[in-house]
Amino acid sequence: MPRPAELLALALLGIGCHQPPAVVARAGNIEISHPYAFAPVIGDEGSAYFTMKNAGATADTLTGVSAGKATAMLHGSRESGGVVRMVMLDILPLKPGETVALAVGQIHLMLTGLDPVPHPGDTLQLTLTFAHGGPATLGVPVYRYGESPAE
Amino acid sequence: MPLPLAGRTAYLQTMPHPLKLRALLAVAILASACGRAKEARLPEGGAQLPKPILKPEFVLTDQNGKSFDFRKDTEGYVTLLFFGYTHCPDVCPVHMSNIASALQRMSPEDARRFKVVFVTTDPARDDAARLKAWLGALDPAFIGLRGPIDSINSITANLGFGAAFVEDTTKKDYTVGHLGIVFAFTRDNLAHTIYPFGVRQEDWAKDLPRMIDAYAPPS
Repeated sequence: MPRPAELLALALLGIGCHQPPAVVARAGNIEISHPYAFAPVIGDEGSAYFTMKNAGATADTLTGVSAGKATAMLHGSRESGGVVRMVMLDILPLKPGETVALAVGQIHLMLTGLDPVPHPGDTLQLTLTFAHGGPATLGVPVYRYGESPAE
Repeated sequence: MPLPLAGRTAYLQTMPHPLKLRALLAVAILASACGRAKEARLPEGGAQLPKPILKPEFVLTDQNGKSFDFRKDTEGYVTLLFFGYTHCPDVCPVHMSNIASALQRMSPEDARRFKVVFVTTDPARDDAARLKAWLGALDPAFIGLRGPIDSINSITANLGFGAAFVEDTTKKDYTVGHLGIVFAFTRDNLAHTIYPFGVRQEDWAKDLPRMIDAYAPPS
């Protein structure tokens, strides 16, 4: 039979598990969480992922992403005959209440010309710009491909 | 051929949820266990194919410039086959890195029973040196193959899937549409399971050891 203190600890743990994800940056009504990036296998090309939530009552749009000297391209993907093609996304709309999570094989940020080349354990700076919310800068932890907490 | 392609694509699109798949598989294993004394545990992290795919026959050039006869040179090994390109920002390095990590978690003896073959769908940029450097950074035992894109596309067509989609190669940082699937050929020269992207490292770590004994040819 657990003691009251243990029950309380368990209850607190339960609450902890249902806490909303840690917001690492905000731009107006947009909350950004769960950032991670993959270091290049070789060369200067990697990728980055993050989750955006529109916590407001009005729509907003992600209009740009920059990563220092690197070129950052937002890609969606389209599948046909088992073949996955990337589709360049210039903007990404976020309806009120909507959450968009970038993920491997889905929407991702392709980074080329990374300088300096990030290594696992480093932090990459990304700036996201929203039509209404303006810019938000976030530190993105860098992992080896496939080793992020999201995997 | 358009028909098998359409059939297989339809299958992919209606691919069951992994959990549902696992539940179905568990029931199937339980059911078959009643009839057999000993049943090797089967890989379960991928998508089971209703009709297994025969290991294809083709000859391409490896990252050391040597001729590689896929069917002959992988005979007797569990063989993982993937079509991708080294400038790919996410699906290719994630798949290959996950497999590399899962193999590292096995004993060297068991890991040596695998051949992991990466066929480039971007032969214009993926020359032998680039393939060797990229695969070498992931796992030097991985085999990188290249050849004319038409040859690669006929291999994927014979497997029942679509052709790679190469964007304008004069464009900087062009991307290549390719299969996101790893074909897992067990030692019976058949792929009973394919692994779409989204398969996690834990699934690979669980399934790879099972592939050694699953569907083994009678000795």
